[in-house]
Amino acid sequence: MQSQESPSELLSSEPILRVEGVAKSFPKRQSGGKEEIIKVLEDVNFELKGGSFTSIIGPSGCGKTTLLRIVDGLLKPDAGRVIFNGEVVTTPPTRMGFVFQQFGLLPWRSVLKNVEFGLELRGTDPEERKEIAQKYIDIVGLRGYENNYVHEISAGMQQRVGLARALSIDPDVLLMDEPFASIDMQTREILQRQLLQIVKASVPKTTLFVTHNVDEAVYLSDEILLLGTHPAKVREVVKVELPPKRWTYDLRSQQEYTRLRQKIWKFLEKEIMERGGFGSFDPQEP
Amino acid sequence: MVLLIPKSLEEGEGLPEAEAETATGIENPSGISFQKKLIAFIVSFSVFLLLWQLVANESGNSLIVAGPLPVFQSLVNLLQNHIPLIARGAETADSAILETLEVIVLGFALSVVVGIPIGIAAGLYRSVEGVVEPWVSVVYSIPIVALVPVIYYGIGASFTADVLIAFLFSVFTIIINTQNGVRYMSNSLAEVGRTYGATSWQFITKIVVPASTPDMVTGMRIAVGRAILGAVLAEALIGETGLGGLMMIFQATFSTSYMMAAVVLIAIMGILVLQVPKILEHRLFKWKETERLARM
Ligand SMILES: Nc1ncnc2c1ncn2[C@@H]1O[C@H](COP(=O)(O)OP(=O)(O)O)[C@@H](O)[C@H]1O
Ligand SMILES: [Mg+2]
Repeated sequence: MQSQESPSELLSSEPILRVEGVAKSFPKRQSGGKEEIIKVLEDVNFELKGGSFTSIIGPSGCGKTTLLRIVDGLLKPDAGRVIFNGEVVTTPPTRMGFVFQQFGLLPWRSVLKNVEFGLELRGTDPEERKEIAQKYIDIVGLRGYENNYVHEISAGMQQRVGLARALSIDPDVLLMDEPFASIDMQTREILQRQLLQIVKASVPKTTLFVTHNVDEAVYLSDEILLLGTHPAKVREVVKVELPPKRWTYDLRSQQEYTRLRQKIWKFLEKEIMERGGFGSFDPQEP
Repeated sequence: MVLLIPKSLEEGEGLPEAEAETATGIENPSGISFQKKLIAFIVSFSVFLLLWQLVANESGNSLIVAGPLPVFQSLVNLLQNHIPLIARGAETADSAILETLEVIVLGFALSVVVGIPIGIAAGLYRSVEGVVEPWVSVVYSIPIVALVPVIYYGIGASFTADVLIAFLFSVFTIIINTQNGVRYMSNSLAEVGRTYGATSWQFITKIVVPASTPDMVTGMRIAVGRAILGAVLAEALIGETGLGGLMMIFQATFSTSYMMAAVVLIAIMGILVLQVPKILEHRLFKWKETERLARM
């Protein structure tokens, strides 16, 4: 372990993934039966440095999932492109892992078989893929649950399976779409800490993490992209300069943490109030 | 009744054991639910026999309605290949049973082999759905019985005709249920497949098929019943072979108790054949267990 390294030294300067001018619109059916085109994303630009943990934060419904699906090649952008490992993404790249908000586990498979899924599709030999899957099951702390069905374990454990499945294909970039949004608070905090330990120490990964939770973003990230709404666009890139190995100390008592938290929350509040259709809000009104 | 009593005693042998286990504090829910089901069955079956006897007494003519006892006697005779003289020339019971079973199994197997791929394709592709759906509506809106004479004149009274009718009776149920299962599969599962790089074939075998298996098996369970119906109907209406044929011959010769015994045989066979998808369901859907309704 190279414990004395600062985070900037850990990050390579070459971007591993670059999003260039991505735009996306969806047709939306109006009440009159007419179709209206809604611009969800417009001119989204950012890049991920190798080894970094980057969060995308924005209000609910602003287009975070849409953006992540475009990055993974699940959805075609109307304009712009995504460059991953020097190539334009058109279909889901083999070296990207995806962790879904609703877990996306296959209920007819055991924990082990779910983790093996990506390797199985790749035609990895059964012995080897079982070994690899077991390794990641151990890393996410699910040893002993290999043969359980998905419905037999808690939501937090289900998302661990989702994470192990994404890690087992040894991705260069890990995409996570609000992975802890539907998990209770206590479990979520533990999962956040363990996620950081995993992607910053056990199996270092470049991570792109989508969330609408300010604390989560500040705690986990080296960089936070603030996404505005209607249409969504990167308004600001916030660097989180807090000491590494954040799971070893109480980050939340640090002044910088509080400052960033307030700054991001202000941004979100403004986005939601101004563009979210709340209008001017007067608490005096009956 | 004579047959039922030793049978229920035989099945009852498991009871003291189950009681002993619950007494020592070991939960045995399957033993308890089996007891409950058995008692419920015995009660409903006794009520049925009683009503049957009442109807037979009321009609007062065993040529119109034979009571449970003569029918049971005829069933025993039938199984020992003793047939009334008047119906001589009819098939023996065991060969009739075998033939009908063959028609059911072949007709059903054919409808699984044909229906499942068509159902999957119709669930996945609008174009296939466009081809399949009108035909399904047509076949559902006209009674398939109406096709029996058409098939009879088309390919004559033969084993093949019986199988074809059993097939036609069951295949559409399988197509529709499979198509529904695929159609209402969650899109997020499909996305998981795409993200992890599934080929079209892997997508079908590793996502679509397992996700829609519950609906396929539901379809099969209904389809088995329809295949039985189709087989017996075909045998009764054309060629007079198998159990359906036997039934018609006894009816024509006024051997009412034998005719009803043949019906009982068909029912028993149906019940046995219907166990197959049930067993399959139980084995395949352990992963769905907690999603099931907890029953009293
Ligand atoms: N496939 C789609 N068709 C039409 N509209 C869509 C589609 N996917 C997303 N949208 C719309 O795009 C907007 C952004 O959605 P999403 O990316 O899921 O937001 P977020 O993940 O930030 O909550 C929403 O208004 C949603 O209704
Ligand atoms: Mg989302």
